Amino acid sequence: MNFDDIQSLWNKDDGGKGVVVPDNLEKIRAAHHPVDKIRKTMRHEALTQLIAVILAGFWGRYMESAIMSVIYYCLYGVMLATCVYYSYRFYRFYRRLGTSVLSAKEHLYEVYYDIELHIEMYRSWTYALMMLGLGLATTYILTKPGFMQAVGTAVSAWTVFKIVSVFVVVIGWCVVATELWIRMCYGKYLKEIKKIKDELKDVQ
Amino acid sequence: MKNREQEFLAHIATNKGIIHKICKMYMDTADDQQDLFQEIVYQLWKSYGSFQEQSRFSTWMYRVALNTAIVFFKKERRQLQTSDVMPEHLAEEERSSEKELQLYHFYKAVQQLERVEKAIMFYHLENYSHREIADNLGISEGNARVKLNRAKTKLKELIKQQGYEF
Repeated sequence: MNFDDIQSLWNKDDGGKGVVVPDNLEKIRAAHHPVDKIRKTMRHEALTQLIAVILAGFWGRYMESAIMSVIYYCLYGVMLATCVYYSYRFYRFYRRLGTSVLSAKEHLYEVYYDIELHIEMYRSWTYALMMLGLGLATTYILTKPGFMQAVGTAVSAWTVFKIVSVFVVVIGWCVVATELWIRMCYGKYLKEIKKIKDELKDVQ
Repeated sequence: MKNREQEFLAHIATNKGIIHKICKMYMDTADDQQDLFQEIVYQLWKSYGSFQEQSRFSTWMYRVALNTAIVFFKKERRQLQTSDVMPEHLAEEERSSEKELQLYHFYKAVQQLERVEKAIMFYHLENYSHREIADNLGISEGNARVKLNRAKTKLKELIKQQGYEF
């Protein structure tokens, strides 16, 4: 075999006799393009978050004290505003994603930076929600009847150490969980596309 | 809208062979090739608005199809499968024709190239010049020339490994 044979084989190959073209486009659904996989994950997450936000709206009514309910709804308002802002950004990003007619290099760079931007937005949103959650947990504990009396007037070094440790561990756990989730849902596509993008680099 | 859809599907019917060739270069199993075919048609339809009638449909189609194929990922559950064994129907039917067998081994070798190398090889086989390959990939002409030579050398080695004289 030589390259002339390959060219001749290629020219004669009709591609496949058994290829069936659908008679309408509704039968065709994308699923394996990384961007569409990301879109699918985004749709699922958006739905889950919508349900979580609605349910969280009722939770404040069951707080143990009126002051806690007020604090809860203040933080809930901040969370709602944050969610609306990020949801809008994600929606715009979601609409923009797709395969383009740019050159392969430009297309790969576009997909890569779109995914990277999305990951950064996702990360900042998660950390914003995490801080709100921690703020809520703190106020919940502080306003719990009898808590301040139990602490007393002076806070010992041991208590300070315990409080700091709890926050460090909780935040550390949230960061690890967020990073693992991002890597599992989005990072693998980014890594794969980076690999392909690097194939286009100039060779010496 | 319906007319536009029918016009698009007519283009696809005319070019289905070449789209399937791309699928065979990028995917090794029939199921994955079918998935990629569907994905390419889906992405082509999504981008159809950007097709300018004054340019050739095939030129526009190659770009979108290869951009899709380059970043297409197999279904996870199929990723562990290998295609080292020749499909039974090929083994029976195509051994009768040396040319068909050569074609099978050619695709098997091409599937082992890097994703960008496959695109370069596709354009080369479609008789694109180095300049045109470079324009479509967004790289320099010199880079396209070097990459094509490397891809050809690699392909030659892969075909040799399958027991063919080259």
